[in-house]
Amino acid sequence: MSDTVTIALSKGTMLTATLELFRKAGYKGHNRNIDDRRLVWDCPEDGHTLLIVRPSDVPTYVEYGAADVGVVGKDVLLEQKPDVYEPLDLRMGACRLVVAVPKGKTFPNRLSSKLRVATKYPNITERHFNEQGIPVEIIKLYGSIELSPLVGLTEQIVDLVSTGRTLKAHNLVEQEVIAWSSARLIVNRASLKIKHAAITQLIERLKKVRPQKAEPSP
Amino acid sequence: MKPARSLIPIGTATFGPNTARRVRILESQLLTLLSRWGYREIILPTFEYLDVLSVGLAPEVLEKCYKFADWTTGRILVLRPDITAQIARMVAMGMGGDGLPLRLSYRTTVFRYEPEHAGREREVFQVGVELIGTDDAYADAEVLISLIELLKEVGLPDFKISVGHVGFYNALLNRSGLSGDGQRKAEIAAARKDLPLLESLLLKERISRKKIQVLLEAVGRCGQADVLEWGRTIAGKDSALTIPLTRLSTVYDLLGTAGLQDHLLIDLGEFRGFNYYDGVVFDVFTSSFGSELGGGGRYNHLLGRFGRELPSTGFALDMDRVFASLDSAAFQNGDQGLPLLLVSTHKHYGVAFKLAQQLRSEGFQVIQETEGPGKIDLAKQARIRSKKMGIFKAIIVGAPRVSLGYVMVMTLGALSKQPPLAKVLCDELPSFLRGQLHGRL
Repeated sequence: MSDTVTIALSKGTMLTATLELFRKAGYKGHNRNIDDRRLVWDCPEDGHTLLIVRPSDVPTYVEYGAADVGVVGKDVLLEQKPDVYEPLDLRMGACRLVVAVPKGKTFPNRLSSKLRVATKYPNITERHFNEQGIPVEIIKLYGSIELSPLVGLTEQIVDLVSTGRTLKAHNLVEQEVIAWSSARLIVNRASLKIKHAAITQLIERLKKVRPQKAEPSP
Repeated sequence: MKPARSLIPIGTATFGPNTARRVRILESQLLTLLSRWGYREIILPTFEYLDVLSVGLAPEVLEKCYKFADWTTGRILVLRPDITAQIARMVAMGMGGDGLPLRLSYRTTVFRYEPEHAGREREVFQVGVELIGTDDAYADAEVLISLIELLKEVGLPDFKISVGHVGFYNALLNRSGLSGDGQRKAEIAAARKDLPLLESLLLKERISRKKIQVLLEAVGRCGQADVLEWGRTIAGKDSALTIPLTRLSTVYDLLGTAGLQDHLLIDLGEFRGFNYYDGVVFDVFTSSFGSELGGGGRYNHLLGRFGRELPSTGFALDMDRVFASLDSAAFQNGDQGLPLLLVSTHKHYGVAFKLAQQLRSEGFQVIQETEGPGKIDLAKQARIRSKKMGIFKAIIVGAPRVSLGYVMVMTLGALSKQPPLAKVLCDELPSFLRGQLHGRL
């Protein structure tokens, strides 16, 4: 049995901050050059192997056990609902999932009473509107969600907001916060039992050095 | 144009001869081992009436059932999604016999709609046991010990059994002062060890800092006797907490007596699984697989839902997952069964048949063929046919210039173009083959 802990990290804006947090926690090997293009990074001095993957792939690696531990935003976890443990809020990359509408919104000029909502998060959106009892037609988009109300594709959007500047620039206003998100440490269920000591130590150390309050991405 | 459609339903598997054989060997091995603990195998129907079985199934499970109409009665049938509820139904109806406790084992498949995801199948092969009609710690320990011994015996590497008690965390939540709705949400958060969510739920209902600390720590704690020790300091004199904890400690000590404590990991926050569990519960984990290989626990009130209160416990192993976690080398010993090819002329069919039957009765696998059309040398035919079928020993009956009572035995190998032939007396054939095939048969 290998005692190395495999950690899946989200590539992109959060990576630098995550590596810095691990270094603060005493894991010296996590001084990866950001321009390094390797996807697998061995840190034998810490007993870690790092995998650099897309944020939305982190839960998959951890749920299947290809990685023991992962760092990923709560928004991704809410959308995918993977069967993993989520023991720690790392309090980085804080943002919120909101429903936004055009300023001075117009009502749909259609026979159907169904609202159209554009989002990258169809599952969260469906759950949210189901809970409210509002029938909606969800349109899954892969980016530039703010565009859709401007061109009349949808009446509303559900999107991740950090500062709110992008919404403002597109003349959209926040109507409602669905959920608050920040980076979470997730753990494979088998790994927590089999590599219990190493993973507990990791959780404890990160807990000590994480920010006092949730912080947005730099 | 027809759309490209899958030819087999999602979540089903087809086992080829080699895999099927290994799975069956493994299943039989498990059932034989269980029979030594007094568990007797039963076979139950694949489908049941939904209205009868649903009493024992949680709403989430019911949503994942395959259901169809029974045209003769107009009632709804269900492919069993879970065998424990079915056995409970059977025993409550008195079909399990009178003797208590009952020790029953099974190998079976259960069916559930699952998204094709994380290795979850829709047709799941299971082997398991139920120990029905006794509610003492010895029964809990027996089920755990037999499970561990079983996994050791089949050679599962470095596995851990995570053990908890449903009652402990439930009692903690009960006395926290959470609302009913809050408690349900907290249960889900705790089962996922989603500590940030759990904390926010507790804060929202203004639960005291001290209580929150305990509830969070109970979910995070897992380990050995130290966890039980911690639990005792939390429990104090509250019987709702001490009763489950004492049961868990007793079982833990009994496993210690059996010398098997190292396989256990106590987890006071673990209480996931079927909603009928109400006592000691457990899951099997190993390093090579990302989720549990199986699990089980105590269900003291499930049979009551079918009309006969009988405290019970049991476990089930997911064979696909166990199989995936086993080192394939573990099967080498069982890998016997290379067939022989027996070829004869038309004239010698009768002699050849007798010989084939004799070999079969002695445990050999024999495929019998008769000479093909046209003039072809019998030895050449044996060689060609053996190669085609992947057979490496052929017996030739009635070859020219071989005296009565003798056969030729051909050994095929990758090295020689002309396979070696040996002349063997018919009566000595079994012992000759046994000697030749030693280690490969």
